[in-house]
Amino acid sequence: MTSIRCPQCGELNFAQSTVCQFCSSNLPSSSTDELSEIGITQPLRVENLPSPKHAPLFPSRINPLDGINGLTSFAQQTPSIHPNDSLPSRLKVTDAQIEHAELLRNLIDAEGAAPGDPSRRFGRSKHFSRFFFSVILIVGLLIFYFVSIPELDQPEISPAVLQTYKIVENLAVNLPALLVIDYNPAYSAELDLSIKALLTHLARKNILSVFVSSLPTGPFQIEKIFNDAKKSRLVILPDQSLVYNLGYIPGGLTGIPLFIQAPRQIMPSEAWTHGQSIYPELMGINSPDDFSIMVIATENSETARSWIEQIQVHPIGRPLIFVISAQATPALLPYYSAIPKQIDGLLSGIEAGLQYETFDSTSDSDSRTWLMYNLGMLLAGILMAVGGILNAGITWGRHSP
Amino acid sequence: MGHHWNHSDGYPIEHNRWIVKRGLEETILVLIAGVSGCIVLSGYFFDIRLLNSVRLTLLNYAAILVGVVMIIGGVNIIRVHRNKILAGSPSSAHSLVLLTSFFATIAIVAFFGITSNYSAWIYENVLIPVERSLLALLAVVLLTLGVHIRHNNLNLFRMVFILTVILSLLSATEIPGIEKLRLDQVYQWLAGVLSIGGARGIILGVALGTLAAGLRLLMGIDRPYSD
Repeated sequence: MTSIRCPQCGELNFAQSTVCQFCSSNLPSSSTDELSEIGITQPLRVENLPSPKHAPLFPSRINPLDGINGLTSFAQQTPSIHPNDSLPSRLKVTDAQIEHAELLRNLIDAEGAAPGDPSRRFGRSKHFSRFFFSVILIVGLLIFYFVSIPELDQPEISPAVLQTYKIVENLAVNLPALLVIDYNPAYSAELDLSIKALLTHLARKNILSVFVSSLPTGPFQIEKIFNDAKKSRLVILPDQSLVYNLGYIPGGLTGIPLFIQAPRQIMPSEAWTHGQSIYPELMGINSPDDFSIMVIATENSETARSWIEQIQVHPIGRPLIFVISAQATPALLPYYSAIPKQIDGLLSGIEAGLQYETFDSTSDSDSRTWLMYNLGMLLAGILMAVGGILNAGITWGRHSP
Repeated sequence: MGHHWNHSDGYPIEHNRWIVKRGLEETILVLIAGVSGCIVLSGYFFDIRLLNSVRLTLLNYAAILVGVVMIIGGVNIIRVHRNKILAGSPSSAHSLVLLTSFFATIAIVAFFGITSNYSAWIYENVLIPVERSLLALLAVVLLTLGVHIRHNNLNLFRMVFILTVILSLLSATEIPGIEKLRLDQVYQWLAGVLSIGGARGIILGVALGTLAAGLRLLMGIDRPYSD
């Protein structure tokens, strides 16, 4: 028997119940034999339960109704077997879930903890190192910026940039170009250069550039590109009707497959239907095939992969060009070097932007950008090499007998 | 009303009904996920008008759900930081700044639009400088770590790693007055052979992992929606 019949109302109750759940009268105590049938060898009293100190964080087995108060009238009156009433409402807890919960708890604790004991020598030395290297980098670059030193020639054009240039140069003029701005604001200094160079080239060919983004900040970045273009020393946009901001692709990366298949459906815009006067080119756009070229700018290799995967499924039949941050270049090179190519053109990092605009003779950048970029890398490399050698020497000297 | 008991397993009938209901709910969820996934997947293989239509509708729902999730995320941020302010936690000042900025940005963009000068000012004078500063800090932290990586537990892999970093930085650099550091060949080998090989391996691994994860979801082995 695993239940007790109430002597007053005759209803059955749980074996461990002390009060009838139907008439609230006292129940006779269960015998040890009855309880042992269900694996309980001691009467269920609080003093017999394991102390909270030794109790596990989560029970290895838990009643399916434990913790779900109010689900049924039965659940409300079921006595809690576990002493910790604040147990989460989990139906079952696996070892993996316990490990994940512990890991999450440790992570949250670490986030809230102080960044290090300032009394520890190593902590002080790390703070000092960061401060020291920051000062060297900033002061070094400022000195080089203001002191007259020979300037570097602009970088020579690489085969990838030359190929991209030729693709844009040979575009049909009657179809608009699609530019996807999928990079975060932090990377605008690196990627704006290439986008501006491309935009200048497209505008000179009188091709309408249509911008979209799968990032929530993308539409703002597109407006910034327009504003920068207006402030440019060279008039790169002879006519405002040569650019159009379609905005954010709803759903972000989830919306990419929809956009590839049905751009009009996912991005309702007046320009599709009422653009006759200003943007007549947009009237004939029903899919990405109807654009002359597709340019995707991103610093994130995962975003780039998402676009490539969707375009591979529904090939657009038009040139596909990627403008990417230097950090994402290794992840995209396999697509570019594949046979046949899955990416037709590649502009990587600040160097490619400078190469493109130099080759296109529309350079609008500060002539010292390339110099500062190289000096920054040189300083970082020298600091790592010299500092590392000194550090290693000191460490080995301490440990040697 | 009296409660009836199932004497075969010792649990009340309500409990068994609840288990059955729970199982039914999970079955329905698995069916919805599996059928939706199969429709979207088959749309990549078969070009059928009806299938494509259903597939596009499902993807539309997914896009709407992502929007709803963003709203829920925003509400959650408000809730968490409101609680911090009300509880007087040490970081309540940060929470106050965050909530003020949050509501001010929403109000300005909603009222004036994303193409207004005010929205552009926020983007160009708040968001971009803050994000660029964080990236600059990251560069300094990486530089410091690059120096300190030899401090403890120097081993072969760490040595190869740091040498690769230094070689990549120096070989890609041009110095005024000096044509090149004569390390072009090293850089081309690092960027053209090693990095492409590694990237291909990673891409293959990602593809296999995605395939396995997709199959587990379609077959109902993984049920993230049932937690």
